[in-house]
Amino acid sequence: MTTFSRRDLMRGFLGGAAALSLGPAAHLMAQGAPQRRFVSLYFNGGWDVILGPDPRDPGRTYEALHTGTEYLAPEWQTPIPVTIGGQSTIIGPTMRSLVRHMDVFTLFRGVNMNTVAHPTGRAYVNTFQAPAGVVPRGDSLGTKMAAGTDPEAFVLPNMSIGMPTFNESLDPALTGTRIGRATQMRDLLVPRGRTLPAGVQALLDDARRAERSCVDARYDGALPLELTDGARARLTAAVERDLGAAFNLGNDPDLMARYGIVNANDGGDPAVVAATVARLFQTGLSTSVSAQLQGGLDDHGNEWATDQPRDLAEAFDALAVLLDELRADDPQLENTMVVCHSEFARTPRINGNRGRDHWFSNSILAFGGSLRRGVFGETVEESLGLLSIDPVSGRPSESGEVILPERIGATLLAAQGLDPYAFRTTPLDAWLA
Amino acid sequence: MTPTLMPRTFGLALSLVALAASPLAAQLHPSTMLGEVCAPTFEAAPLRLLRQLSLDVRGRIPTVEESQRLLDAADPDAELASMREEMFAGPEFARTTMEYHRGLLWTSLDRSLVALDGGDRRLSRDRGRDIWFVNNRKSRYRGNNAFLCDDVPHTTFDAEGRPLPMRQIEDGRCTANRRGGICDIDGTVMVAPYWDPENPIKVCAFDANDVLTRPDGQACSFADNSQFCGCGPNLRDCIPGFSGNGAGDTHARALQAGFTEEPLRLIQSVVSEGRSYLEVFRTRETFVNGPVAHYYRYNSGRNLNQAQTTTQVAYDMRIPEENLAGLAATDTASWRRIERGPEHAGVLTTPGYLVRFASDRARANRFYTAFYCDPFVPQSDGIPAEEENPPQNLRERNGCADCHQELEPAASHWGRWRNGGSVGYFDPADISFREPYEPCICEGGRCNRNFCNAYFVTPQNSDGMELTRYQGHPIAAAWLEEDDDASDYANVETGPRALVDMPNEVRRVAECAVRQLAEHLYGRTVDAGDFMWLAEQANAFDGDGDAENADGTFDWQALFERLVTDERYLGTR
Repeated sequence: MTTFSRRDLMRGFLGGAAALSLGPAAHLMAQGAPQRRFVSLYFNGGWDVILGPDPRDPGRTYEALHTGTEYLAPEWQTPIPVTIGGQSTIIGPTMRSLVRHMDVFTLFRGVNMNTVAHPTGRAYVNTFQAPAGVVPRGDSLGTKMAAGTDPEAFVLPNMSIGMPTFNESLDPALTGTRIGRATQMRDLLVPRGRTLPAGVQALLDDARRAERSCVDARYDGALPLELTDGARARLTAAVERDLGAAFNLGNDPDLMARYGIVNANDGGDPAVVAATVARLFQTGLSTSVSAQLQGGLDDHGNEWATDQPRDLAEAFDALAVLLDELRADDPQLENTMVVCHSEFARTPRINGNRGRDHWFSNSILAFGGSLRRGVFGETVEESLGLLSIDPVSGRPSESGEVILPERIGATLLAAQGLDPYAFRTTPLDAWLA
Repeated sequence: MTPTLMPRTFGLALSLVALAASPLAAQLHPSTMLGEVCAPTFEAAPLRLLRQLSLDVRGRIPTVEESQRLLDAADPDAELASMREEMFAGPEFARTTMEYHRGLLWTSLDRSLVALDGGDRRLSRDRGRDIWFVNNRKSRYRGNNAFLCDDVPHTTFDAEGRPLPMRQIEDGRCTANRRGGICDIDGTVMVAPYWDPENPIKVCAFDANDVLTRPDGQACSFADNSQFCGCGPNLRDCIPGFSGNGAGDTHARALQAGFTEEPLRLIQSVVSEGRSYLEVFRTRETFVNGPVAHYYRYNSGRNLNQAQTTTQVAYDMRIPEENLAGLAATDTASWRRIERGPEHAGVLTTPGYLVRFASDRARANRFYTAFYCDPFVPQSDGIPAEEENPPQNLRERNGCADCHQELEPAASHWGRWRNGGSVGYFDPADISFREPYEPCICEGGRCNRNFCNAYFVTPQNSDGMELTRYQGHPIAAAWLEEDDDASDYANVETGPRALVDMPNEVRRVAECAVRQLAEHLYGRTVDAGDFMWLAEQANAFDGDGDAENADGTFDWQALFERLVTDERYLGTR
């Protein structure tokens, strides 16, 4: 294992690395089998599951569901038959590029988001714990997932791109580092090129020592200033290693072609986001990455027919290439889990503006990890309504229960070998591989 | 919640650098400032309290001179009290007031300008040829969307100055306005746009047409869709869209910023003038600056019939020109107080609020969350499985009723205000909530009028019992209820101001204002141990609940001052 860990960097293991010139990004890549990796990808705005993970037959009519087929371009009209974990089902045409990853796919349908308000739903899928109003409760899912690793082994163990990150109860060293857009990774790892005058620095050091003496006794664990120093040291090491070069995606024509990136400076492009996520693992910087993969999905008007399928397909295409890259060194994703979610779904009926509004019955996508492959859950065929689901078979059952995100979160955590206690519910044990 | 490391680290570093760089650094050393005091404590050191106050009241750290003044004071407590008064009297507190309420109102129109320009009057630029045009009117002017003007000076006009075609194209696609396969092509003219008069731009002649009447003598206006009407003098009837257009983008952003800032200005004026905080939700006053004034002058004021040409109904508010006189379109700095119609309710009917919260339910939800401290939360075990034949009325549907029993009456206060990202008001003189609107009773199973489908119950947006009972009614009229005690219809007619007209509602606002500000200043949740204190503070704010209009009640600045002199604040670090 030759990933450059924080510990290694501190010891000067790569002390000569600073002399490396800006070469091909491959020079910066970690080698060997991956440590455990987790990716959380958020689709902002509320996705239309009928065009994606929970489609319907365009050839028939439904009591309380309108497929909208007549408004869609031909390429978005017809779902795709697939087999997931031995189960035959259909997925929406926007997910076409993901067909090659069905062998590592676990699809949760009919998840009750319990809200149709954006901020509440966003808070919910951030932590997978019911928020207090619009205020998130608990730790971000990405933070929880990072907890299973040694934070000392990573420079940026828990990265968050375009999403808030929370750490309420875990080791402060796991607290997420947040950037607004994927392209800011370049800025994060670039030397600032400015040092303070010696006298000012001395005063600062004195001030820091004085502050420490004041608050030391109040803390049981690591002191805030130690954490600050640790964060600085980690970033300094990454800068000296010139890892920022790995995030200049435009310098890698092969990567640009693989992801279909037109403008490497477009931090909102799902392909740029996905490639950046891949690079965070390939450089060994992170073990958990959360990112907003796509935005602008809140299509209430007639733009739904054109924008929603296009935007979903862009994101799923990028996801498919990301999965290709993650499977290069972990073919069955045994050490890797990728989860996709949105704050809620969109209404089964088309509204008066030829768009779709907010709907609570949602889907969650998971690739890899120690999960049983297949389709868990279902929605009412005629209305996309919620159903009670048997937690063992994953099929509708009157004695079952409506599945909340907490239950999925607990399952995902358990599948990574972590304690799901924080969710105050039990995992879907039958769905752990 | 623990914030991310980076901002905290950065903030700490900045503060320390600022401190260390000062010649007074030795005296202002943190150990001196803090003494041996660590949080939590009720004995804050004056210098630390000065810094805390300055950040909370003015949004910045104290100057070195201010710190020195406190160090030199014979009576630091008295000096600090004096400095606190100065802070509240200074201009920076006004900005603090606005920014605090920006957090409550979530004011942002970043992606919402489309609703304010109606789409069919939005100017775009052909970047390759640097020619401006109205994309949504290409078909109307020329016969088909595929054609734009030629990049040659336009030379043919009628006697009154309307551009005539420079040439014609025979093409089967040219069918708009019964053209019979012939498209009209224009050239370009140079125009000094209202947003940047010193720098003329090249505009397609049909789009730049500044003659104010049609050939039949009817007046052109912002709402006119005739092929004979253009953007008017200096393009005044059109709005530049966001598309990398230099000064055009600058104006679009200024308009966006103006509408965003309007509700915050309104709140700030109420606070700084010592008026009742309830005015924030009741007053007819508001504020406009230059870009917004231009918008009201030339881009607003459709009547109901004109509004029906598009679902993206432009704001129909009319402001008398005398109230806007002298405010140039480019003047972003001058803000003028104006009076709106009686239907208005403080910030709750500003475009910044109505567009940001696009549905009546979202508007009610934000108000309840921010100003009643009572967010709508489903039952803890979640929405149950769908029942057989679920009722369309959400107040009756299993699992939905928890919230919608209260949410629907709350949302009905905005029933007359349009939604879906547009801004407008259905005047009672035009639209009844008890009778169907005749033009939107769409027989035969389809309704082809976008306006009706957007705002009225039609076969395109409804079915079943809802369609049977409410076809042609405003969508917001569906499932309204009334009994002896309460009437949703009354809420519709009174509007959002009715959310603060009952004693219990006023009290909720008072308690919530205290709670929100306390949690903001103290950095913690107000919990059960604070309830008595909360009640006392609310009493001080609302005059014990029975003196709403008495002097000194609902004075939000006074509330702020009380909270930063309370012992709870002294224990905050």
